[in-house]
Amino acid sequence: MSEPLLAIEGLVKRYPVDRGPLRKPAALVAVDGVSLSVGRGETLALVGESGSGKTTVARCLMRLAEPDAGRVVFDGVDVLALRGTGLRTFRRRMQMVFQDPYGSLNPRMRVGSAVREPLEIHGLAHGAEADERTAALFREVGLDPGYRKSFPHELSGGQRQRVGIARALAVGPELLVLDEPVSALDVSVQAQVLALLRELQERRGLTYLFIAHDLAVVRQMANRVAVMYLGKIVEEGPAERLFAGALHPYTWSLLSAVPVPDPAAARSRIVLEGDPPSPVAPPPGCPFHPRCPHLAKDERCRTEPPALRAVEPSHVAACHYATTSPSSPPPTLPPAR
Amino acid sequence: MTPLLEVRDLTITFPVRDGVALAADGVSLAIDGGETLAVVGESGCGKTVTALSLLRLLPESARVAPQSRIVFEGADILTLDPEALRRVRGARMAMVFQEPMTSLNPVLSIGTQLAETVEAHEPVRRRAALDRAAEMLAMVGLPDPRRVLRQYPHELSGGMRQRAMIAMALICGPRLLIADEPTTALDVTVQAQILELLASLRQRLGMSLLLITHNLGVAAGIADRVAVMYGGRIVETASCKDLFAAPAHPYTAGLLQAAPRLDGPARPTPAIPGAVPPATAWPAGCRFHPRCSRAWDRCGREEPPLLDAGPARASRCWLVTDPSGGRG
Repeated sequence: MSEPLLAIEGLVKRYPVDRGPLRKPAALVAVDGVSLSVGRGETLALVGESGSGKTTVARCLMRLAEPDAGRVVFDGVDVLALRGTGLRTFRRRMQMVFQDPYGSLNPRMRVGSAVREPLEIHGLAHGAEADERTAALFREVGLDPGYRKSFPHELSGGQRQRVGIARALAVGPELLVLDEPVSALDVSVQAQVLALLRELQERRGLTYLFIAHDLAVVRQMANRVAVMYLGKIVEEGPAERLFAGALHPYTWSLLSAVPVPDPAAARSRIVLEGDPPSPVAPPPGCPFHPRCPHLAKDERCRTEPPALRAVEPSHVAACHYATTSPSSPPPTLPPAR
Repeated sequence: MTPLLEVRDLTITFPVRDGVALAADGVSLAIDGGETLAVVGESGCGKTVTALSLLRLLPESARVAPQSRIVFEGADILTLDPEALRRVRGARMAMVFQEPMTSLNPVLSIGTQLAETVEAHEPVRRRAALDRAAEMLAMVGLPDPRRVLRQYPHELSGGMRQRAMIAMALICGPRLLIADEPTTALDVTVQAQILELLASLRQRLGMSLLLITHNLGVAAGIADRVAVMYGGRIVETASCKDLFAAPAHPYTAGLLQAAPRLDGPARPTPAIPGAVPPATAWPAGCRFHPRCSRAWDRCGREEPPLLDAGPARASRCWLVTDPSGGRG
């Protein structure tokens, strides 16, 4: 494989948790030794439930949070070592789109100014040229440039997310970190924004780190998928392999839990028991063992943390009993129509 | 058979700065005893306003048009005096909301909140009410219910809080449970648990369930019948089986096609063009026609009524009477 555009190695992020005046503060390990790489032009999806650490990974990449250990290399540049001007120049190459553009856009700033602002801050365009580039960005994300005069609350959810994307594109990034970009949108609008993201990727040759909890959305977008649970990657592989034959029991359960709009789909559902455990006190051994539906689950799972290992070429899983022919049945999906 | 709940011509408006928002317009629906009806639609379609009106929980600014009727167990909810309404709320008809953290009282223990619900409707002592509460918490699958009684909402996870909310809603044995997006704020694995729980409780307790959701997959897994809303209107109703097998209304069909899914081939899903117009300015004619790929000139002029589209199903679309789509 050619050199990846983005490589993350052994990323760790801990947050102190105050447990009151008489007890020592504990550490919440939000990200626990995550390694990932994304090739140029590729979409890597990072999937997990709330508290899995997927957003913290993104925040560390963007230098919105400082990791405690690990390396982030972007096109040969050690991102975590960047300071000052170096960091500022680097930020042009990697931009982030947030879940709720209502929360990330200034409610008192016209959306045209919100898209224009990064052009001026980074010294890319001023005056009439900045106006022109802003209008072009609006057109590129499928918005009439007339909307530049609007305030965020005057736009629909889908339009606001288009503004969020235009703002991220303003500085000409190579990689976009998309943090749940469509999960706040209605289904009919979701499909529009996903189509726009695909179109932009093709036209601009963008690389995406696509963070999501909805596996049905991920299936449409990703080349590769990494699944996180309690701060760790538990499975990673090519999308078509992962959706056809997931290796980790947690991935089976995630796939099986997605509601299918077909009352006739008699699926053998794996309904996990309990909630994800607290990342302040993760269970010993395999962090998934208390909820694991795998038939082979035994003492080893309760005591020995499984390492991430290649079960088949370029498809890794952190499970002692992961095989290409799983001994527990993976969720049976209805036949393709 | 008289339905448990019958809503007729429910019309709700809100005065807003730039006019009047028509949030629900002539909504009629019925739920039989033991039945699960899912009301499906996107934001702004009027599904939540409809649900809130059933227990008269609408904000003060809402205006319910005089012809509206909400008949539950033979009485019109809209004309009940406060005492009669209090006896219905929580006892005969109860509601579960999307975000349990905002509907539970943060400074009262779970036990106190459940016990107070019982005491509001029945002459019981606290001890007996707490026993009932513990039983209910066990029934909704919370381990160690006696301990949960002493806990506060913030000590529970999102899934546990939603279970506690469901226990509180069901503790007086209501005949109808209204669940407004009960799983939307939850992770997908927990969502699956809560849906299974609702389905099994409905069967065990023989109650009816009105589920409000934007997710067609959620409706498919639990409902007997489905009503699809768009623009304050019911645009299609059918049995769950019929609706998913062959949607009659182009909006239902568009929603089904737009939903990303795990069964079937991995391909981009087609979007519905445009966006939902504001409730202050629904388009003339069929409210969906500006976004509809099958619309013809009649659709922009004349709004179709809910037309019979087969046994026990209806669609608010001219295609029912003119399948050629204006070319015939």
